[in-house]
Amino acid sequence: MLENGKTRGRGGRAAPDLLALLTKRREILLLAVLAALALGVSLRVPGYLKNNYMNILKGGAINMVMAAGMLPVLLIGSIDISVASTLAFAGSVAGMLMRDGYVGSTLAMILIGIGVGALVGALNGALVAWGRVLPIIVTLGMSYVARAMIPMDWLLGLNKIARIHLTDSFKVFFIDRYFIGLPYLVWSAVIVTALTGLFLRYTRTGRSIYAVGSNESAALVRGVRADGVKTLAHAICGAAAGLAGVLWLGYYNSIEKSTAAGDEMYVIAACVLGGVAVTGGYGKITGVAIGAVMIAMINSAIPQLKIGNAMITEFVKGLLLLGAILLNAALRRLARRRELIGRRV
Amino acid sequence: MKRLVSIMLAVLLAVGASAAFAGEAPDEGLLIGVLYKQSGNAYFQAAVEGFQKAADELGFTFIHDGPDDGSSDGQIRIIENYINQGVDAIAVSANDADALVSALQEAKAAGIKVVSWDAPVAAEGRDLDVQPASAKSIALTQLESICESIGGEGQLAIVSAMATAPNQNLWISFIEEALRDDPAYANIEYVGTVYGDDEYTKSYDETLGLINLYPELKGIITPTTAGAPAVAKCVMDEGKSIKVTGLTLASDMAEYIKAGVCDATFLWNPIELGYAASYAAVALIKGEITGAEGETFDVPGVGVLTIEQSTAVNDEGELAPTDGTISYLNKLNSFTVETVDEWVDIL
Amino acid sequence: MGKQAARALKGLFRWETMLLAVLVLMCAVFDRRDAARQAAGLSKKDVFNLAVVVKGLRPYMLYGFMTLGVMLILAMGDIDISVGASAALSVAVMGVVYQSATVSGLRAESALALALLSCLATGGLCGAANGFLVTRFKELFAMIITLATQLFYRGIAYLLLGGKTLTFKNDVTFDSLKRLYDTVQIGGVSVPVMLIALMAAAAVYAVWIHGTPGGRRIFALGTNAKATFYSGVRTDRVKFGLFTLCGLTSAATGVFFVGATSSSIRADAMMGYEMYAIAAAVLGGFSTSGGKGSVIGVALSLVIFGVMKIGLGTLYGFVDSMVNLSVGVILIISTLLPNLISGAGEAIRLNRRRARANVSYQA
Repeated sequence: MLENGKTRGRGGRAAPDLLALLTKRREILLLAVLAALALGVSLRVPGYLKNNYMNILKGGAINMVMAAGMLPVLLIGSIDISVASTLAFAGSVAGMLMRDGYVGSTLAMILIGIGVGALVGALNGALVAWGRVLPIIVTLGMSYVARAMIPMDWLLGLNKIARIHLTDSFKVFFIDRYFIGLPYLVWSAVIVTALTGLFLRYTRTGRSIYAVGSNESAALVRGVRADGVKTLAHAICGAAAGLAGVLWLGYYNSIEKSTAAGDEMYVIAACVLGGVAVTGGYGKITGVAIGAVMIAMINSAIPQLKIGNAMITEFVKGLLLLGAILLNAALRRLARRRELIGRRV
Repeated sequence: MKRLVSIMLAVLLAVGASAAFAGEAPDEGLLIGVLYKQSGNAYFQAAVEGFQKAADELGFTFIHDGPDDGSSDGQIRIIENYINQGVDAIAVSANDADALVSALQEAKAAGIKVVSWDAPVAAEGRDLDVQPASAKSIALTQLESICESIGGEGQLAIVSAMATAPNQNLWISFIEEALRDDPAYANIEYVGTVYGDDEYTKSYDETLGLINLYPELKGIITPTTAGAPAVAKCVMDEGKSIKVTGLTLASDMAEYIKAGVCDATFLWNPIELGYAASYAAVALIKGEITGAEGETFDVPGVGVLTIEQSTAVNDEGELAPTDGTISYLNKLNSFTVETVDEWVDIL
Repeated sequence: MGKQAARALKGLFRWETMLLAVLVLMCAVFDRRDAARQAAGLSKKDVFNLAVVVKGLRPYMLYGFMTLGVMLILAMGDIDISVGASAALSVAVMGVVYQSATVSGLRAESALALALLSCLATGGLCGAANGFLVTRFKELFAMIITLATQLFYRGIAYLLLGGKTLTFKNDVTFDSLKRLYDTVQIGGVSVPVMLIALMAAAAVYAVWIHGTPGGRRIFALGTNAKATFYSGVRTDRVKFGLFTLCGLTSAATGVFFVGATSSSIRADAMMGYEMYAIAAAVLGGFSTSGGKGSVIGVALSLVIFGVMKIGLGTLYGFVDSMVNLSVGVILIISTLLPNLISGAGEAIRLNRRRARANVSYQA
C-alpha cells in the first residue's frame, strides 16, 4: 500500500475536495445516483415518481428494516444469509398464533415476531461467537433449518397463513393507518432505521460493535466483550428480520413456505450499495437506508421501463451490486492513498 | 478429536433412525406415489384430501411429497425415491413438463403407471393426463365472467404466473383468440399479459405496474391461485374500480369477493381433481384402461370420464392435437358472494 | 521422512475412517429397518440394498463435480457461492449456442461439440472472473464477491433464456446428453455413468492434491498464505487458477444436470446447489478456514448425504423439507463440534499448564 504514495506525491496535495467529500460523505454520491435514477426513469415513464413514490417506500420498507438489522452484523465483519428464512419463519409463527386465536393484538404480534427472530439471530450469533463457526456456514445451515420448519405440516399442520386467519385490526394496521401522510408500514421502517442509527452512534455497546469490527483484538484489550457483542449484533439482525416477518404479514396479509426466498441477497445488496464495508468496521445507517430505497426503486421501475424481457431485473440488480462493491473498494483505496500522501508532509 | 465428532454424528443418526415415523404403508394392496410441485402449498394439500378420499373408497395407500424449493431436480429425486419404494403408480403435478420425462420413463419401464394431474408432463413421460376442465372452457368461463362484470367494454389485462407455465399459456391463448374473433367481446380492449411468477410480491408489483400504465383499466383476469390474492389486494389498495376474476382459492379471495373487487372467481375442485386422478391411476394399474383414446372410466360423483387426444399450442399459436391422452372433469366451481363462505374451509 | 509420511497418512485417514464408520453404521441401521419393515409387511419390496442404493445415488452425484471445485476453494481458505449460478449460465450458453448453431446449418454433432465447448468455456470464464476479482480486490472477501457475481451470472442466464424452458424436442443428437444420466450394468448392479465419471475425476483430484507438490501447495496456501507467498509460490496465480477450475467443474455439473432433466435447460436450474456443494465439502473434512481436507472424505460425504436422503425418504417417510432440515443441522454440527472440541481441548491444556505452573511456583 505504501508504494502507492510514492509516485503521485504532488497531485495528491492539490486533491480536489470533491473526492474527499465523496469518500467521506458517501450519502451525497448515493443521493445523486438515486436522483439520476429517478430522473432517468421519469424521462421514459412520465410522472413516474408522482405515481410511484408511495409504492417505492412501501415496497422498500421491509427490505429497509432487514437491512438496518444487517448493518450491525456486517459491521462486526460477519454476515447473515438466513434473514429471509427468519422472516418467513417468524412471520408464520406469529401468524399461526393469531390464526389459532392465541394472539389478537397487533402489538403482541410485533413482539412475537421480534422475539422469535431475535432467538434465531442469537442462536446464529452464539454459534459464530462461541462456536467459532464461519458465519456463512452457520447462517446457511440456519436458512435451511428455519425454512424447513416453516410449514411444519409434519408437526403443527400449518400450510400457509392467509387473509382470513388475521384479525381485521391487524390487516389494516400497517397499510391503511396513516401518520403525516405515510402508512405505519413506512413509519416502522423509519423508526427501526432511526433506532439502529442512534444505537450504533450514541451507545457504548453500539460503539463497541464498530470497535469489534475494525479491530477485534484491540477491542478485546480495551475491555470489550467481543463474543457478547457479536451475539448481540446477530440477535439484532434476527430481531429485525422477525419484525420484517410481521410487517410482511401486515403488508401482504399472507405468508407461506416460499415467502421471501432469496431476498437475503437484496438485503445485503442494500447495505453494500449504501457503502457498508463487508470486511467490518465501516458503514452508516443513512447509506443503508438510501441503498434500500434504491433497490426498491429498481424493483418498481424496471417493469414499467419495458426493456428486454421481464427477467432483466435480476441482471440489473446483480450488475448494480457488483458495481457498487467494486466502486466501494476503489473509492476506499483512493481515500487511503490520499491519506497516506497527506501524511508524507 | 474428530473421532468424537463422528461418534456423536453416528449416535445422532442412530437416534434419528430408530425414531419411528407415522404414515406406514400396509402390506398388500396398491401403493400410489403422489408428487406435487412444492410442499407447504394449500392447493396441493387440498388435492391430497381427494387422494385420501379415493384411498378410503378403493383401499389403496398413498404417499405424497413435493420438493422444498419447487425445483424439477427435486421432483426427480422424489420420483426415484418412489420407484425404489415400488409404487404401482405415480400421480404427478410437474414443475416442468420436459425435465421429468427421463425419470418418469424409467418409472414406466419398471411397470409403474404414470398419471399427471394439475400440470401435465410431456406425453412421452405419462400414461394419462387428468385435467379439471378443458383449456377452452376454463379460459372462456373467466372471460365471460369478467365481460359481464365490466359491462362488456373497457381495457382488460391478464396477470399470469410463470411465462413457462404451459397451462397458463394455453388459457391465455384461448382468451386472446376469443377477444380477437368473438363479436361479443368487440368492445373490450386487451392490453396484454404480465407475469407474476406465482410470487406474491412480484404479482403485486406487476399489477401495480399495469394499473399505473393503464389508468383506464377495467378488468383483470388472473388464472393463478398464487397470484390472485396479490392482484386483488393491489386493486383494493389502489382504490380503483377494477374488477378481478380468475382461478383462485376461496379462502384467499373471500374478502375481495365480499368487498366487490371480484364478482365471481373460479376454480376446479382440487379435492375432486385428486380424487379423479386416483381413480384413473387405479384403473390403469388394474388394466381397466390403458390410456388410449376413446376409453372411459367411472369416477363416482363426477361422472364417466372419456379419454381424449391431447391438444397443445403450436408455433402458430393455435391449439393442435399432440401426443398423449387426456381426460377432463369439466366441472368448475364459481365463488360468488353467496357461495364463497361454503368453500372457505375447503379451498 | 518416512515417519512424516506415516503421520501424514494417519492424519489423512482419521476423519475418513470415521466417515466410513458413520456410513457403515447408517447402512446397518437402514438395513435393519428395511428387514423389519419387510418382516412386518410394511413395504412392498426390498427397498434398501446395494443395487437400489448405488442406482439411487444418481441425483445426489449431480453436485459432485461442483463439490470437487468448491473444496479446493475451501482448502485455500476462500469460498465460492456463485457455482450454482455459473453452472446455470454455462448451460444457458450451451443451449443458446446449440440452437443458433443448428439454425445456421451446422451439423448436429459439431454443433453439440461447439455447444459443450462453449459451456465449459463459459464456466471457466465465470470462475476466472471470480478469481480475477478475488485476487485484485484482496480487501473484499471472496464470499461477498461471489455473492455479487452469483446474482450477476444468474441474471445473464435469465436474460438469455427469458424464464422459458429451452428444449430440443426430437433432436437425437442433443438428447444424447440424456445418456449421461444412464446406468451401466456391472456385476448385476446398475451403476450410474455419473458415479463412475465422478469417482474417476475424484481419483485424479486425489492424486493431484495429495500426491503432487503443486497440489499440496493449495493446502499450504490455506494454512498460511504469507509464508507460502514468501516461499516462492505465486499465490495469486494459484488462486486464479483454482477459481477458474471451480468454474469448469460447475459447468461440468451443469452438463450432467441437463442430462438428468431430460435435456431441458432453464435459467433457474441448480438454485441452491452451492449450498449442497459446500455442505458436502465441509462434511468431507474441508474446513472453511482452509488448509485441510481430503478427496476421499468428500467422496464419502457425498455418498453419506445420498444414502441418508435415500434411507430417510424411503424407509422413514421423511418428506423433502425434513431431509433439508437434517442437511442444515448436519452442516452446522459437523463444523461446530470440531471447533468446540478443539476449544475445550485447548482450555484443558491451558488449565493443566496453569496448574503445573502453580505447582512449580509453590514448590
